[in-house]
Amino acid sequence: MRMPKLLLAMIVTLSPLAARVAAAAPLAPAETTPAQAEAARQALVDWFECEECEEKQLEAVKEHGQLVVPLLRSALLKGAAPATREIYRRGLSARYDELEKYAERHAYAKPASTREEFVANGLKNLDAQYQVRASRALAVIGGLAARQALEAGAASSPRADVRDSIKAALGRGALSINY
Amino acid sequence: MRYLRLAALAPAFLLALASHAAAGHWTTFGRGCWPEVVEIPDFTREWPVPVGCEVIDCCPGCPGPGPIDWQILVDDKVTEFATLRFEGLSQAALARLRLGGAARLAEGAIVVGPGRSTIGGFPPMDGDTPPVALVTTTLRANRDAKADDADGGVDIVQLKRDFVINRFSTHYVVFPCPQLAVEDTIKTSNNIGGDQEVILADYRKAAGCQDDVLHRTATSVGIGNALLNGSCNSEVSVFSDDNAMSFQPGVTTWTNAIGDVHKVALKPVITAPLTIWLARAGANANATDDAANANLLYNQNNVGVQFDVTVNDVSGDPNAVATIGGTAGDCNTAGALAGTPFHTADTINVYYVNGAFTGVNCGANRNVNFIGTIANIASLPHEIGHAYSLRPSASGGHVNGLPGFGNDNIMFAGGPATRSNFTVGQAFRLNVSDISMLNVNGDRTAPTRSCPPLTTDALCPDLALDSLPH
Repeated sequence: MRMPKLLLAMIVTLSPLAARVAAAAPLAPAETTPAQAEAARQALVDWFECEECEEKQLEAVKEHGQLVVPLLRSALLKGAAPATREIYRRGLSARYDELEKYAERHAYAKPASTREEFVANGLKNLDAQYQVRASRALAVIGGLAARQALEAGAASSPRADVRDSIKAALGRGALSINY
Repeated sequence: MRYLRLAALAPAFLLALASHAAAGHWTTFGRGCWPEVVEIPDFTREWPVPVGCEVIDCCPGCPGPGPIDWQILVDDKVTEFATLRFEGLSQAALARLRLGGAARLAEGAIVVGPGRSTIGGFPPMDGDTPPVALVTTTLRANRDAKADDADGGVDIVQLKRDFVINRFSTHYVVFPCPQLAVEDTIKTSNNIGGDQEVILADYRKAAGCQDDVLHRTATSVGIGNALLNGSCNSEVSVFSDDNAMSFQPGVTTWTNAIGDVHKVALKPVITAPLTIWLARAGANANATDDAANANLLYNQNNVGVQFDVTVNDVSGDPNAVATIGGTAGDCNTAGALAGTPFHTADTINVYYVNGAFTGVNCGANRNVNFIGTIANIASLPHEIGHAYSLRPSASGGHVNGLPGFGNDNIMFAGGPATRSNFTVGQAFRLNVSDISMLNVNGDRTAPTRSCPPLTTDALCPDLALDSLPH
């Protein structure tokens, strides 16, 4: 299959800086170019999964503004995507095998959870991480759609830490002034 | 050393891949030598690539339901081919995929040769369990050794029409294993488990000062003829499973004659106390699992430290929970905690608190770490890495975007929960740095030096310097 011309054009012109500049202006999703979409997608993934988040990941998401609100809403309501959950599920299961094997010679390092608990807990926390991060991003972006997403999330989330995060997000100024 | 020879690999296509590689869903990086590397599982193990979007709804402006296409790039220097064996995809569906470039169907799998290839027409996913390609790479076994390093890798980009929806990449640097005459020798003893040690050595040779030469052995290795030190730095560091890292600066063993033997008697692994405080009810299993994972990773990566864990459940004590604080992940209570009953002096303290964050190691007291409710199993080993000198984050404490690192490194700030690697350059600093709490707390009593993460000189190895397997 030949590389589509549009993709080739995107690749030739895409650099992180160019992508950021290109994506700075909020667009309706239907008008989004592949380069803009990729810059926004990468910013979202970086923010959803960051540890400590000291590399301005939230600011990078905010730059994309209303463009990413629909995806943030989906993440808030559903957590991580099936492909992402699948790679985590496999990774966690393999790591549990390693821990069990390691504990055969190092008894001090035995996990407390069963395999099922270990994997399920990791996946639940992954979903919660996506949901918490989505709520914070929606809060800093603001606007009616962001508020509606947060209200929907507040009504549906079973985890207290996620609900607390949504509640805090709903109380942020950006949501009240950016209608 | 060059880690990514992008210009040689491909035109702008790979440039686009590399510019965002740090955020791809699975970006691994390995470094090993030929021909040993062919047998190293870290290079050739399966890595799973699910078919589908990295985030729900894929991307802003993405087409709705429809087929997914893959672009695959395999290097032409190191990798002979990549094999994609699918789970969750019937043979009939496999046969319907459109293969382009160097991709071909072979014995129920798709084999992809060097160059740019495509697999088109993955059906839209229906349900929560996507098809998964288990990707293995086969390295060239008969490659002519080159004096220079060779970079290789496999990149997979998933697209819906022209929109990227997911990325994966594995990259490696391969170089010829040193073939050195057994003239002078480094000999080790007390290697618990008899694993392959990684030896990092500086010495002088006829060609001049040799800096950060890597050797591998379980017992004894020839290094050619090392000469009297002259003005060269001379030291030997040994990294091994189940043993403490051995650091011997100022080595004076070498003479201009051959036959010198430098002996290294390895010592037992360092036991570092680690106190866990549960300020969140029900966190005991999580904390125990996290500590087990930290123990596994620090030993597997030859750091030479095991954690002796004490767990204190104070979640039912409101005074303790209030004193510990930390629920915002902001370290506001870290400075004062040392004077309270809820802190063990001169010890890494880890507080599991009821706040929606991952983890944090506190600048006010590097022995204080908070773990939040959305942490994963990599959060604790990551924070201990900060405590053990891999800081500040913006100066090599986090390895995001640094050459020679993938998001499988423990100090990557994000990425998969199962990230699992420290480089030799990181393991050196975790042990030797004068600001590592391993030394500050007195758990390790051996020579130290100042080695910030991004300082590379005669005394501090490159942070990305590595040699697999550990």
